[in-house]
Amino acid sequence: MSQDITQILKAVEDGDQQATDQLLPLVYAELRRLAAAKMASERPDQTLQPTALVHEAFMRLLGGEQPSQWDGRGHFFAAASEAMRRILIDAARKRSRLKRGGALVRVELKDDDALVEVADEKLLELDDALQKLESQDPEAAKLVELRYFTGLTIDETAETLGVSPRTVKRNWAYARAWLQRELMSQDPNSIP
Amino acid sequence: MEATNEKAIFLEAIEIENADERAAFVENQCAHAPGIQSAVQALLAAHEEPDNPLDQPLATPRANPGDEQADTMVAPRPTKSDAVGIMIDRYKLMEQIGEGGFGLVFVARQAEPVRRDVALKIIKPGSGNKDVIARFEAERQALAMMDHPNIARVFDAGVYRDETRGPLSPLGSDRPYFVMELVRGVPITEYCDAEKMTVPKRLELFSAVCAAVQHAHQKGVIHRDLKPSNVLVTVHDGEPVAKVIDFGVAKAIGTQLTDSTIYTRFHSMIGTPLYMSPEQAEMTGSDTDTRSDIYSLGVLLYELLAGITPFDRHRMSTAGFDELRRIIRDEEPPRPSDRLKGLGDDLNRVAKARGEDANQLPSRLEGDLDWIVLKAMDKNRNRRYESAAAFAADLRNHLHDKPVIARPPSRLYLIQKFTRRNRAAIVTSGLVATALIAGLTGSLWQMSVAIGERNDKDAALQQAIAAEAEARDAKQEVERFAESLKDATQLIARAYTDTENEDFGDALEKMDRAVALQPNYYLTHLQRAQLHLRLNLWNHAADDFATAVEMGAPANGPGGESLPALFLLNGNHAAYQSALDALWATIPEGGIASWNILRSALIATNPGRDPGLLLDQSTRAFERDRQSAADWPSFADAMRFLGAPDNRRPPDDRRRERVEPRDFFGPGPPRGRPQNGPGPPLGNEGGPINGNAPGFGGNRDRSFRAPIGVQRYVLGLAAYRNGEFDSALEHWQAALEDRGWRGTQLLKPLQASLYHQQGDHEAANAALQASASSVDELLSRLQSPTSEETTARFRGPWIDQVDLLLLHREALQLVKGSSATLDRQLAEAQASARERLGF
Repeated sequence: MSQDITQILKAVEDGDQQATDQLLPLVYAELRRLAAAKMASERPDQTLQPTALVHEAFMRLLGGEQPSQWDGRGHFFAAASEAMRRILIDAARKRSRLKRGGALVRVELKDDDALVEVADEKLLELDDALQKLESQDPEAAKLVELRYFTGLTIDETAETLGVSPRTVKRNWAYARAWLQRELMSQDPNSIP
Repeated sequence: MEATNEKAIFLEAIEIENADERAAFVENQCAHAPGIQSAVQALLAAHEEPDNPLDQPLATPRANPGDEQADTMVAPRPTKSDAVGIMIDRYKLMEQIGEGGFGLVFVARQAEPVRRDVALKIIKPGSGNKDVIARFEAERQALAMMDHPNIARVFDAGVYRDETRGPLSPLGSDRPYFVMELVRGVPITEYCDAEKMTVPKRLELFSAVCAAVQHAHQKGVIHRDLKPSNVLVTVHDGEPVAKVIDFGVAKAIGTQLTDSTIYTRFHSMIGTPLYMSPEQAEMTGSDTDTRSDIYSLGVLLYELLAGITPFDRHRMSTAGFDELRRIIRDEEPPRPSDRLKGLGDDLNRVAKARGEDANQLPSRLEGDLDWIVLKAMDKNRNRRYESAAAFAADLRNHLHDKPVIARPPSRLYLIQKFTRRNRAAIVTSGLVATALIAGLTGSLWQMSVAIGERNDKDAALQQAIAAEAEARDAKQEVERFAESLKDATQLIARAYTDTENEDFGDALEKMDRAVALQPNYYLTHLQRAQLHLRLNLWNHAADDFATAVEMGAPANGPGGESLPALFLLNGNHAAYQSALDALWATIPEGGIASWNILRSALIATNPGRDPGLLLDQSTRAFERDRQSAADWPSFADAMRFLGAPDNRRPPDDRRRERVEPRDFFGPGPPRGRPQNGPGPPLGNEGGPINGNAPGFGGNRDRSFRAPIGVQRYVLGLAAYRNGEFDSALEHWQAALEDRGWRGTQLLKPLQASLYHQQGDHEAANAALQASASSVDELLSRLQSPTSEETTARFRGPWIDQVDLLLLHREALQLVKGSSATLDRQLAEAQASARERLGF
């Protein structure tokens, strides 16, 4: 497994676009597995930190053989953040389906229960808005993925995207306002 | 395109603080692209909107909604479990098993060279971290030598460096870690209670711990942090096995004491002061040795037996820093059996956990086990078991009903303890005083005066006004002086501690360094002189005192009334005469000299004063004391012997009996009054009886009454110096009748001189021979300054010994014509004594 990922990362570095697509399933699977394991061992009142989960996934996937290669790390985070977003959104969808289905009994959702505290509806709305942003400004959307869904810091995000922290801050302000505007325009009660 | 424009305008607009200016800017920018104005305005409105979903950190508790600014949103603080799965070099963290003041402990998996699970202890970030590994490396060889079934091995150490802000390095700092044999056990105290182990079973298990500690000590490794959580018990084949963990770790983590670390160390030691030895509590850093581990073992045994620590856990955790140190250093722990009796309702529980009846358990501990525990925990490490093996051996003695080495404290021992405590108090107040001196700028000026460099300083100050550069130099000089004075003070303070512990070589070495740092200030010389005096290194003491006096030490203050004799012994006649002159000047007009001054004046072959005057003074002093003696009940003598003021006498009399404060090292009666029982019998090692014991540093009461023996000895000496031989012999005969006086050997050389002058050579030779044998004995004892006998100060005041040597020298010169041999022998004895102290 760790050999695979190293090769994939190498391919990503060499500019192989397909490799990125290969990376995501691995990251996604590993993150899901980790989240499930966490759920089993954590006290119920403890929440998981996305950063920790991603860091951990990274360590596991690489098996600690190349932990200091930042390039590999950057690509990894890019893939992982997408995976994190997918996990969270999937979970929110599942829950909101259950709510609409009127399930009265509390259902154990195992792996991703405690991952989400943001109200599911809002999260799904945000995801929709993010998809729109993606179509207009993919870089800004990636930024949101990294910072919001993965919990990277400004500096970490900057390194992952290969831009300056100042650019990250400015883009973040823009993406944040853009998403807010989008959400408000969908809400009939907010803006006339 | 539209979006790009919109973004550019937005990003520029948010840089503009003023709302009106911003609106104008947007309007202006959108003039050539009218369609986007409302979009940008909506974006700006959204930017100001406080309730942005992105501001809510995802999947973290929403403790502070709204606190987070968009650009300051940080990754949530990691919790401890986040570290699991992380690789630290070649160790993978698997499970957290502990957390303490130092950091976290994990089970970690090592993949190569061997696949095994280990315990990995990762240290909290701290200022001393850089040294941790260096200190560990220094001890690595010794740690590798340890191989004992009851010791958990330490495999490795390193520094974990995480470039990102990972879960283990929230501050992004380097963190040292230790890799140890994984012991899945419970603390020994918990195990014993859970298994309801009986007292003999507990002693057996504890003996294994002693064996482990002994093994480590033999390999030169001191644990420094023995406590239940570092002694774990696992079960092998149904048998409990104790394992001591963390050997070498405490030393590596421990930091040197500095002003800035003192506070943090205090807090990092919070968990352990219950098991900390007094010398560790002093926190002077270098002063920990194997005996500190013995102390901690003693506390551990205490807890195993009594179910409670000697000092109250709650009290220790709430006490302030100084209070904590004071408790550890000065408070005698209650006996385990007494502590048990005070437990009340808890006694049942404790007894039950030991398979004993609540009524039986205290008596089970009384006697042997009380003594053994308290011996291991003695404040004075010289009195603890000399090794962990000796500790275990004494436990075996107890288990086999053989007599134990640890004995109940005798009454004499208790008295000694009392005076020791008192001395500690005196030393403490002395330290405080010294520290104050060091700290006050005002004192700096005084000291400049004391150095005798006042003129230089004045000049420097004058120049300072003239030239700025020179002013800087002068300031630096004062700063340097203050710095070295502080260092010297610290050295002296540490020398006190060494002396308390009877590590005289160390003490002397520190005093030498203090003098080297402050060679021009008399106080350092005085301090060293007093230590020399205690070690009977009289030639060195005399040199130091002479230097101190030259530097302006007050004549009657630090000098002391017996100082002249010391100078004389050193062959320094000029110093003898000037010291005596200074003392004589303190006698009020028409007053009577003290016995000590008279004695000092008469000890020289050619007395320092007119012999007739001295005889007259001596006779008057004798008359005075005989009169007042009638008023003095014997109780007063007893109290004076103990060094306590007698409060029963009227105040006007009390003046005459006042006892001056004892200096730290000088001989003299032990101060303080035992709570019960009589003092040591006369003639015991407890100390000299009376005012003929010279002291330094106090305002001696001139009329302090000496015992009859001393009075008659001085009186006879005065008569002899005046050629009144019959009268002299009469007085000395009377002196011999004072059974309590221990200076009788002084009379031998005097008799030899006197008989020689009378022409009775046979008697003179016989007396000289008797004197010589006393002197020989004295010289041989002088050579070993640290032997018990010597530290008991020859069972008498040092002035007696000095007088004996002086009088014997005088007799030799009279009878044999030369004292060269004696002088050589004395010099040799002193030199070899210093050699034995490591110099």
